[in-house]
Amino acid sequence: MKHPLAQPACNCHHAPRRAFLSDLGMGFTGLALGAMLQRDGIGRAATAHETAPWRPPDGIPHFAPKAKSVIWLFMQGGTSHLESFDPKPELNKYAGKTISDTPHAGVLDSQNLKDNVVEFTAATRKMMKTIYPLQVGFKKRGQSGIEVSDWWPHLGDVIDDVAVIRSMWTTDNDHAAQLQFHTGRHIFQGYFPSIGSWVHYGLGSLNDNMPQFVVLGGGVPPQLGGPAAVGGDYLGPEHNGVTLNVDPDDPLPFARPGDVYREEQAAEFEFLSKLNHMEGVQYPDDPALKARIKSYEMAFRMQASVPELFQFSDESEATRKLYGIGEKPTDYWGQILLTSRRLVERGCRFVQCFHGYHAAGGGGWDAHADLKKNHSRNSLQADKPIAGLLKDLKSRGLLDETLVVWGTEFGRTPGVEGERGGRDHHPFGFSCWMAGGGIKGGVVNGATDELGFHAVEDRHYVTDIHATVLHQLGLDPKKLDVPGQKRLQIDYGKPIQGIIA
Amino acid sequence: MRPRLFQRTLLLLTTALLGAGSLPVRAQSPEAVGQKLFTNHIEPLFATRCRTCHSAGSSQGGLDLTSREALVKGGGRGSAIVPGDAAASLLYKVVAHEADPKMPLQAEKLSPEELGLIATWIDLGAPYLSATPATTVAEATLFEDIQPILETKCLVCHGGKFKQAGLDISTREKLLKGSDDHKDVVVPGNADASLLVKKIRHEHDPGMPYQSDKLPDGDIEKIESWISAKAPYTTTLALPAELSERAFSHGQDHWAYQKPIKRTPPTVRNQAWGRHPIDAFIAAEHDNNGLKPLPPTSKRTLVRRVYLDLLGLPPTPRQVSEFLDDRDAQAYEHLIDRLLDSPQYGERWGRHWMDIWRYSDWYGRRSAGDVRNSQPFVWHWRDWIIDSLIADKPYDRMIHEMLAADEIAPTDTDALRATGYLARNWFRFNRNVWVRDTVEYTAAGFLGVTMKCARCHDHKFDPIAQEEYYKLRAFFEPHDIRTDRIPGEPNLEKDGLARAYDAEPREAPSEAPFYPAIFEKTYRFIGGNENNADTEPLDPGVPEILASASNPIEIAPVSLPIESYYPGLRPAIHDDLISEARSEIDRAEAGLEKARQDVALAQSEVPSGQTPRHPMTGADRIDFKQHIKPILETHCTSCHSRRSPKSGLSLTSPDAIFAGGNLSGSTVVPGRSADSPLVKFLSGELAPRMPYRQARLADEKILIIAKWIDQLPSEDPAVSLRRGNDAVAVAERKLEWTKANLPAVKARIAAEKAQYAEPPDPEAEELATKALNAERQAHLLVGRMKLLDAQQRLDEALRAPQPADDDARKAREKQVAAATKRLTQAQEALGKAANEYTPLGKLYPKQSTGRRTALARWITGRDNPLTARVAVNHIWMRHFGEPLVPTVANFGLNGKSPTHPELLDWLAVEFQDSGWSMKHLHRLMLTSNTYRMQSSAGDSGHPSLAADPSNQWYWRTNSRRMEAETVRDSLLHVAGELDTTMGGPELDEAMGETSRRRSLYFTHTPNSQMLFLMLFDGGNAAECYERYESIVPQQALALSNSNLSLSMARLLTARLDKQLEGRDAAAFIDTAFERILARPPTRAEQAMSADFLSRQRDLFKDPQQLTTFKAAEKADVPPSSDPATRAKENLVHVLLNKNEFVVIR
Repeated sequence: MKHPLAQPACNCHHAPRRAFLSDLGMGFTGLALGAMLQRDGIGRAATAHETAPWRPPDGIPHFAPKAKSVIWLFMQGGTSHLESFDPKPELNKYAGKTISDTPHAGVLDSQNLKDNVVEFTAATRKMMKTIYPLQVGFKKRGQSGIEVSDWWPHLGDVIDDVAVIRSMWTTDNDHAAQLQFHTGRHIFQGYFPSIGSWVHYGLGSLNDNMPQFVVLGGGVPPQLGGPAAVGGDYLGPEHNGVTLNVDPDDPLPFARPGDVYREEQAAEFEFLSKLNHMEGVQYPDDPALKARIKSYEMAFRMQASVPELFQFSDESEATRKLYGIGEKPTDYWGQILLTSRRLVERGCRFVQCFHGYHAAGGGGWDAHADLKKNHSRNSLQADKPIAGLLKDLKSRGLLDETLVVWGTEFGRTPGVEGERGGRDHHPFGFSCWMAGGGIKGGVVNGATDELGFHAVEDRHYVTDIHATVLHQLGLDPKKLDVPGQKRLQIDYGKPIQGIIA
Repeated sequence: MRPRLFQRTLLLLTTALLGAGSLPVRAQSPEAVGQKLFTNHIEPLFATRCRTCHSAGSSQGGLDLTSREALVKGGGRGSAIVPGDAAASLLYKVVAHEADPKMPLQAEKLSPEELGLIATWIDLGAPYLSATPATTVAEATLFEDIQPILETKCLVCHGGKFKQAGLDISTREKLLKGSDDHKDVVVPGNADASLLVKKIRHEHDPGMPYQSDKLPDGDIEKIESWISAKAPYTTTLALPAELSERAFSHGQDHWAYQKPIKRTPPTVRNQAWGRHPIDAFIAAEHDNNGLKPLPPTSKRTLVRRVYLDLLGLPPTPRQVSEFLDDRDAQAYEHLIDRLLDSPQYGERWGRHWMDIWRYSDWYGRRSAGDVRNSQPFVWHWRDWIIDSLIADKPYDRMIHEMLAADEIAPTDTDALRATGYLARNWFRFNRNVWVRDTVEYTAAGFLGVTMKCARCHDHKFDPIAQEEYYKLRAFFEPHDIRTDRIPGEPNLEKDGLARAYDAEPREAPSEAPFYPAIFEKTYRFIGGNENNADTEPLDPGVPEILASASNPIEIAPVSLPIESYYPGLRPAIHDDLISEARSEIDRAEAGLEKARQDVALAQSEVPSGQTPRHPMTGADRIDFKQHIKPILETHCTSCHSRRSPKSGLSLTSPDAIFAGGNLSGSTVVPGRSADSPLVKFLSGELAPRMPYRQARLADEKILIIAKWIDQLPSEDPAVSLRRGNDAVAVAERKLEWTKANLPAVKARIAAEKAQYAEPPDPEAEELATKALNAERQAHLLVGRMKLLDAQQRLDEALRAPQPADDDARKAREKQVAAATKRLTQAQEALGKAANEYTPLGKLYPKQSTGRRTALARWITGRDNPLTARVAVNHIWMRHFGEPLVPTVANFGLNGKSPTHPELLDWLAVEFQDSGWSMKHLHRLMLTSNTYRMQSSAGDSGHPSLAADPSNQWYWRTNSRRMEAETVRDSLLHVAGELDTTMGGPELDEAMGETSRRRSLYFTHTPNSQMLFLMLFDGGNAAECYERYESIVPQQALALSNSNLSLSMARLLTARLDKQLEGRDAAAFIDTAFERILARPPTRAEQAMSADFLSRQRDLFKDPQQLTTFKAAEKADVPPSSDPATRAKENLVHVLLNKNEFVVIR
């Protein structure tokens, strides 16, 4: 029940670590305390009395890491692999025909259709049988000549830094696949620690004044897993992602007092500190009191330091432009990505950026109708800032140590949905990509069949992405196991060796 | 092993292919090579990969692989092998995946080497040796050689109660099945390929015997040669008597599995201090560790400590002085009694037990009312917890009610609330997840046993076999949750009682609405995988290590009273049914009246020749797309869109809004916003207020919608008149029907009462006929009403002019088709006559299995070593800040030992002896000296601090930070604002900063929790056996910047000012300290505060000079405009932020 710092200071020469910590103050503690304790080998706050032989991770990688931090970009709603990174000319060739009238009719007999999907509704999702032609052109880009759709021109500029994975599969064909992409499990199986929390748990902090696992862009809506998609589950709430609003005026809860003058608050905090110090005279053996005094000092500073993250005025005009800040379609997402760089720069381990958050629905990319309109608009928002982020990281020498992951919950059907030109959800094959952090640039891993229906070569379940992330950070997921929390083999995934430099 | 195998294969292949080559083995005939190949490779391969399905006993596809004849004869698809021609052999094709079905079925393909071996063997003519040769005398001797090794070294973990890794070696058949993950534990005839051999050679981790010395080489050789001889068995293995399973199983001596014994409290040096039994045990350790207890704390500190501990609220100045002035020797005891009698004790300690019992309000998609976990009315269980604590219901009885109130008190609705404990784990999509939680949290919460390890494999630390996990699950296998009506509330959307009962097995439906399956039997899940169930069903049982002859499991089915299995027969429900029918008549009468008025209105307009109003133009005009759509999209369309039209209603376009849903018809009446259901639902005039369970829409927004409706063109008066007349006709029929329905309801009640009467009612048959007739009459009338309504709708649809554009024409066609369908349905319904009247509700099974009652009895049995200890430890921790057993939910071998084992046991037995009275325990603990010490030595160099820095031996009282709820409740309480209303449905957690109710009443789920509470380490709704205390800057931000804190500071200041009636600043400072910190200020604090007040007052004299925070939301209570008052508000606000305020000293 006692808080982890409530060890009395002792008079011996070696300052006991816990007392030392409390004297140090705790930086951005709520966000970083767990991580810090782990880095210092103290263990989890909640489980001071827990079992003997097992120890939580000490924050030291299990082997030499290639990357220090992760920026995780997630497109909500399901980005069409067919109109982004996995062009299929056969779709144009057979446009308007039903799949069974093409030489590729076999895709409909694949065992994957039964084995790889856990239906949300019992009735199988209708197959979209009529082939829909590609809604956008493709060009070979960069030295590598990787084909990138014309909706991603800026990303095409940096494709030689990117490893495209064209053979992803998942099992949820509804949007709770967002949860699945982050925890590795179908929502029917409940909640599990998310990839960001594993990293936070395994490595802890690089800077105690910063949140270590930050969520930008809203996260996952509740019906699709909500906080669990960025949560620590059994690793403990201290490993939950901290959601920050890209708003210097309201970045954190309670960061601004209403109708209070700054001078008024400053005087209050000063007086409060005096009173608390007097309490300290009466209770000299109470480290919690010291910790609370520090926490008020830190809170006072945080009111400035966290909004500072969003002070883009100290970035050059050129940098802001690189992210498309100030231009209407890219402004919001550009701000998020610039913030992610600023966070990583300050030592944040894991930044998750969500694009296309819809409180009520699947997400912005969910193009059941008017795919052309939908995807061209979304790509316009996403493309330039993402390319800008990669360029910016590279020019600052940060790309080597920062792993950038781009993902989405599933792809979209080769067949057309409805009369207004949409594509339905498609878990059997879709694309992701990674860049930086020891990942090879300009390579393609895996492939879907000629219709882009099934991942057929180097098939990767979503946890292969997790495994690759952990591998690049120098972590062995099996060594992170928590006693009593058995994981299945599929939870660990396998690092995608083909893209690791 | 593969490389070695592969080399051999090459050798063999070479031999076979070269025929008469130069190799030494060439002397062998192809037949001999083939036979050797068969013995060494093909037979083991068949045994491990094929014969599970293809043997004489189980010949899938008609194929039997146990003899050559059978193989050549083949199965349903003809010969399996063509000796001498592998390529033409079906067997080869299916294993090479050249033909379907690909073999082995749904398993890993054979390796290329293995395929090569099979091909070679067939090409060599597929020579066979008998697959299971009779055991020869020599082999039998071999078995006898190794039998003692297996029995003494292996069987303990692999074949008795324990089957580690799913491996059972007790018979040959079981041994050859292999473990959960490895089929090749023993490959008869091939020692090298057998995992067992690799394990005992320590070539495979972990080596065997587990964590023991390697077997002597001789023993390993014996086992190898036994396997080479195809591992014959002559008998079933059994543990030697001296190694009887229990004696050998670890943990037999573990303290927590021994029955607690109440020993006489020890005699201690400090006899005066150690008179109380608790103190005697504590003082004994003081003696052992050379520690001296700190003196008793001041009465002031004590009174605050005990108020916060028992009520979760600090005492008011009056309550403090009441205690200080009480000169009675028993003043403290009386105080404890008073507090224990307070209902707020139930709330404070209820919240503690809600942590342990894993309380969660329902979750899923709350905005859409989509329940996925827990149950909507699970708050009845929360109220039961509070009520039970207030009444000091014995703890054993509480456990009985939570696990099995439906069996032990089937008609007691108060007790049935307790089964919310089981309802909380309800999970819509997966029964296994649901029951898994029930099993694991029951074991951890009541028994301190970590079952979850044993879900996938035998427990690694505790003597619990995987099978025992599933035996424990079997107690819960039949139970299900249903929602009974609460008398007086017929609407199950509003309230109901979610309660447990034993149901008939059923499958989960394949279409919405989804609910979980109920399985008939319980199986072990291999590797914990629910898709891989073992074959033997398991009966309910408890872990053997905890079983006791004097506390047996006795399961007796329970016959339920009729009110329980047929809740519709409860008299209170009859009253409800009748009053419902009556109010239906009232509503129908009102509806008819309204319809007639509408007609009158239309009639008055027709002759006037009034033209229909037209939409307004210009600046005032409300535009749907511009003004209305954004509002609806923000608040409504998540539930009411074309894609998910809840109640059939979509609010995405004006057309859809006019069309309305299937509950209230059109949502707007053009030109008449006040009559429009849309407005009525938004304003709360119609229930449930919309948006459902969300904050009310701002008045401006409702106003804009109303304005839009008022601007809509109303229809042609002639059309209104026709529609009005139609509506009157339907309303008349409706009234007829409701009037016929009332007697039908009464008749059905009478008939059902007679039907189930004891002794049998002779008039039952006659009453049944009456009920049937009455209901038929009502049915006829409702049918006629629906028919007329459908007819009118069809007419209306047909009457609409043929539209020009395609889309509109399609829409019209759809409308006509829908109306026609409705009409046909109405006609068909009218044609059908029932043969029996409708019963008064659902019938459930008449019997309950009694399993959960048996489990509850065992858990609370006098001889259960764990239950009382676990509970006592929880209570102790919440009074003393530290538990006696540090691992509060794990009393197993991997948990920690108690710091004071004898005290724990003494308390556990005392708890049982007191009739499991929690209040008795509270009194006992609070009256000890151990509880009443100072929490601080006041000196960082105090010797005890060095000797026992973590206060393991309780030489002082631990100071603690308040739990999250106590922080918030105390803020409200000291400001005099706390709303002490108890119980009821959970409150929207978003209202936490504005509502004045106690914190435990707000929505608390793994998905949503009040932010303020979360920051103060509020309980995790998924699992919380203890809270942890962090000190983080966000807490400082919440306490200083929240609306709650600022508003409370300002309200309290106003209240104090009023109470002091203009007395001086010093008086204000005194009173504020008393009120907030339950003590007067020290002289120094008084002086500093006075100084602070005057400086703040000066600060506010010239507000123009001050700077504000940007874009901050204002608190509900504005600051005072008077500088002196605002300074006082600042002082109060500082005191609310003072460390002391959130600490229990």
